[in-house]
Amino acid sequence: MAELMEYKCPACGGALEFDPGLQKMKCPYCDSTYEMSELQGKDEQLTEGEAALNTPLPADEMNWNTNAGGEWSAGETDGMRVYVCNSCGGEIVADQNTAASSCPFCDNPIVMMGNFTGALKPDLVVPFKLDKNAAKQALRNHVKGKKLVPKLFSDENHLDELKGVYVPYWLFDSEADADLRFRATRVRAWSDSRYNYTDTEEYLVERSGSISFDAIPVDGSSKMDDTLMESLEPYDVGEAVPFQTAYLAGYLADKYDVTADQSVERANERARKTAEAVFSSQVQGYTSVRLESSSIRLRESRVRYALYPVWLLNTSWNGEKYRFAMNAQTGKFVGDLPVDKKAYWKYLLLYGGIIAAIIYLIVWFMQK
Amino acid sequence: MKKIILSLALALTFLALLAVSAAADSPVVGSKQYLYVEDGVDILTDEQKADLTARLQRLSDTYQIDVAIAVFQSIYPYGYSDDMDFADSYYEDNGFGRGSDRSGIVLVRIMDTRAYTYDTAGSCKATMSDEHGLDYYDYETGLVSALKRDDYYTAFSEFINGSEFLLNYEKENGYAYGDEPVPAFSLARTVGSLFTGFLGGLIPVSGMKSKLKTVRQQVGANAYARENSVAVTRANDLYIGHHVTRTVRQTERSSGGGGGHYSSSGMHHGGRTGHA
Repeated sequence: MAELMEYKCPACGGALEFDPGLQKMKCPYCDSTYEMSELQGKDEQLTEGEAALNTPLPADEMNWNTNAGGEWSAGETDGMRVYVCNSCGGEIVADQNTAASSCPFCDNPIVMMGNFTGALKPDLVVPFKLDKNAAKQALRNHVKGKKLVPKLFSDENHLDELKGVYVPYWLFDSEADADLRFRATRVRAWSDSRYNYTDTEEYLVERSGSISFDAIPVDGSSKMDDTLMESLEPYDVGEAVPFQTAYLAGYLADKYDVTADQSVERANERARKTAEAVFSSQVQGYTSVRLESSSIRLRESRVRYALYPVWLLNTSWNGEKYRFAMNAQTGKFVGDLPVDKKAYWKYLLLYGGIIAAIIYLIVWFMQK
Repeated sequence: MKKIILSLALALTFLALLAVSAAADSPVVGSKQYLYVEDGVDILTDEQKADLTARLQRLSDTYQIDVAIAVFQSIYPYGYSDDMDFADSYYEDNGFGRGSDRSGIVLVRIMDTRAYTYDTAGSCKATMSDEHGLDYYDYETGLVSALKRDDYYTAFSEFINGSEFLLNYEKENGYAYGDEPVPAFSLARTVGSLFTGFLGGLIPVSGMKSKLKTVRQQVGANAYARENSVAVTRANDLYIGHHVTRTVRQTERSSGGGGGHYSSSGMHHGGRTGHA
């Protein structure tokens, strides 16, 4: 493989070479000749490209106004009690009429610590839209038809342990300005009687624009697995209402222990990924596209403190703990299920045996 | 009346001359019962030719196929550049082959290029298969070594003996040389199938297993991008150069083996060419 040239023939795409006799650039493939001045435009483009390559994009500006949450009014928290879990240290809030005996996060006993004090008042709450029966049915559906789930696991003994919990979230709103720079290639191939040729054109591609985000949620509880909570998304913040303690009746609520400032990094990461994906999709007509650098700058950013409704079920099987959760607004149910090893091998041998028998017969008939 | 007879005689003579002229451009050399050995360059004595012809005729009649030998100085005077094409035409134009599928084999020796070509048709494509039967001639008989030392009588005798062996082998065993029936059970096939089946079985079972996992981190925040909020304010595509690479083309040429080939007339042949 050999590097052949720098300019391509406008007529056929072949490699131009300088012909000392003609004092022109000549295409050895189609014999076209070009004055050097004709190729000057190419030089200018190259110069422009080089200049752009050497100009760095502006630095990221992804700062947020993290003044979320409000102050409690006098007497507003009088009916709220705080329970503490001696096992995981979680602090759970419930109204005075809700009997809370076990931790929704680790299932260990909890004790009442006293009246609720401190912490910020949530800006918003998405009320529970689906009740416990819906959660039970969702769990049944979650297990149903999954042949590798252990039979004992799918019995309904645990169903009554479903707990309705309001999980604290920080919601990030912002307008984002984005500059993205890509390296792209356009490849063309052709052949003659002796060689196969590949012409790879390289481009510097830039896209700039803006995109707005509403309520990117980041879990504000360290006791809730972040991945589990993200699996429950999306929530429709359009159905959120201003917080009132009355919404806590009959449910538990987790106090945030991850601040808005601590959640900024995850919000930025998600906003950046989406901005990059959206503007990458605007680069079309190339054989390959590679993002080289990007700059994201946020405007009119704000953070809100909200409580999202979740049905939680903690259970254990074969010494392992399993946690399931349902988005109590949309009904989306998630939770990794255990694998019954006996069933796994049974199906592997069954399918493997059928495939092996088919392959055996095919090979036999082909050899005959 | 005399004029008519004369005119007919002249016309017939003219047609005969045309036929002879056309025959000079093809390897047709006569009626096949005399052509089991076609020695175009006089490398065999009359006695050798008579002996080989008798043996070939007996063999051909016994197995109801044609087995023949031909020697030419060159293929170029006949307008050919490929030994296999020449052998195909020699076989077809001289009417070789017996039965509806024109079964037979012809060994064609070309002196100037030292090429030797086996050309098979009909049932002989299986009896003297490209994969096994022709290897028998080349490696299990003294044919090639005799050709190399220009001992043509020995070479052609080896060809006849080899042909007789291959025909007899098929008659006695019910299958062609090298084409042994595949046993229903094979340890290698069993092990290979089980291994492949195990790997294949992993695909559906892994699919079943993956359905048990529903906890996944979100990649971006697509669900929270405000509807119709995306605005592209600048799009700039700068050409910064290109490069051309070239690689030598891999050319493929049919060896004439494998699953056989079709002649220019459309007849299917087996066979191959070697040099010795």
